[in-house]
Amino acid sequence: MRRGVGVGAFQNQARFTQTLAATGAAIQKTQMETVQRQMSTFKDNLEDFARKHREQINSVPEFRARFNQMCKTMGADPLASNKSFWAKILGIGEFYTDLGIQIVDICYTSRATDGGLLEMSELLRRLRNMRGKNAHAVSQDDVVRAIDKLELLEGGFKVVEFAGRTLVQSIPADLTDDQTSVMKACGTKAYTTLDELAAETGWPESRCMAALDSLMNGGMVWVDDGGKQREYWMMALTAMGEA
Amino acid sequence: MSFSFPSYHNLPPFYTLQPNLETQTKQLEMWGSLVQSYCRFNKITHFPVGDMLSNDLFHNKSISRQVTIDMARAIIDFMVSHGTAQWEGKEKLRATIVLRTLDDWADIIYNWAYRVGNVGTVVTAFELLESDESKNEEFYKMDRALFRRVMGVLEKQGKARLFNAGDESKEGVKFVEK
Repeated sequence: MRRGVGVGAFQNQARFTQTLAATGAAIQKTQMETVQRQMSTFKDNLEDFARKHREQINSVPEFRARFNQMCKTMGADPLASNKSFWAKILGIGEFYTDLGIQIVDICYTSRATDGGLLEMSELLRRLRNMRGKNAHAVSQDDVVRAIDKLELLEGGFKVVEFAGRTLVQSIPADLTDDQTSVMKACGTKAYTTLDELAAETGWPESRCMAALDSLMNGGMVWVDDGGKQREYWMMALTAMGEA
Repeated sequence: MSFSFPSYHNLPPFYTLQPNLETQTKQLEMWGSLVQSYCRFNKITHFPVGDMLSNDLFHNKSISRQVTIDMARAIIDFMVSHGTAQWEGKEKLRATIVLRTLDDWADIIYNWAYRVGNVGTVVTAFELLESDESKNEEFYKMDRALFRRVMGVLEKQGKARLFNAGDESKEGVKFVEK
């Protein structure tokens, strides 16, 4: 005999749904706890790791870069504050603050010769000179991180890429598209001429001149009249500022 | 040992006076300090501007660039306005380069005297400036007129007394502990 669907079935159904919700919540809670436990274990491990490898983190640039990456993955920022756990353990906040000050110093000093654009490799060379042999080694990754922090100060510091070159810019105004084209035309030899620029860009002479003049006024381009045709030198690409 | 030029000495635009005034000032400043350290290294006090044009300071054969006479004069003019050179005559043919300030020289000579134990004793100017004892010192063979001016500074500081000033063969100095 077939029994119809009675009130009991509805009650069963409701009870079942309730139980399901309760169980779901319980599972979720357990999962959350597990994840939180895992995260906290991970954080403890990371802190242990930092303590244990403090010397390497401070002295080996590659090691430091990996460590920074690892911290970023789990949302810890060793550079966030000088008072943070990381700063206390590693003195790492201070490391980047010092580096930042040195970068500002070098870029401002050479601004008169390069107009505020300095090639990364040249900056690294000067940093190494300035810091001396006994200081911890500095990598490009460190410079980029230190400049990221400087960017918050809105002093116009940033790392820019031009035609396969990495440059550090220390002026608030970005290069215009035309100025960037001049820079590209200078290429690896670091200079261009009016004819060459016109051929490369297809611009009329007046537009070429305007772009070159603006770069000269900004102190980024120096001229050389010792050849057949006036050469416009992009100082940032010469790596020959003050020794 | 020859003078080692800074890297910008190999940069062609360094030899063209820059039209942008701000850049030009910086450029003259770089040239001025280069001329000064070059002269200091080669012990050149009297700088014959015209003759120097063919010198490796102003003529860089490796990049075929050369400072013109006008630019050389502009460099010295800049140095004059900053107290690191003086023209010897209105024709601007030759300039005296200030290798060190008198105070610098006074310190250098007194420190030397202290180091070699000459404080408290009398040293003749010849011993001080031309003997083997000071052969490796920067003040070796210093111009006597300049030497007297430096001694003047040390006398004022109470660190030395000059004897028989003006008589080249008898001139001497007593360094005083201070």
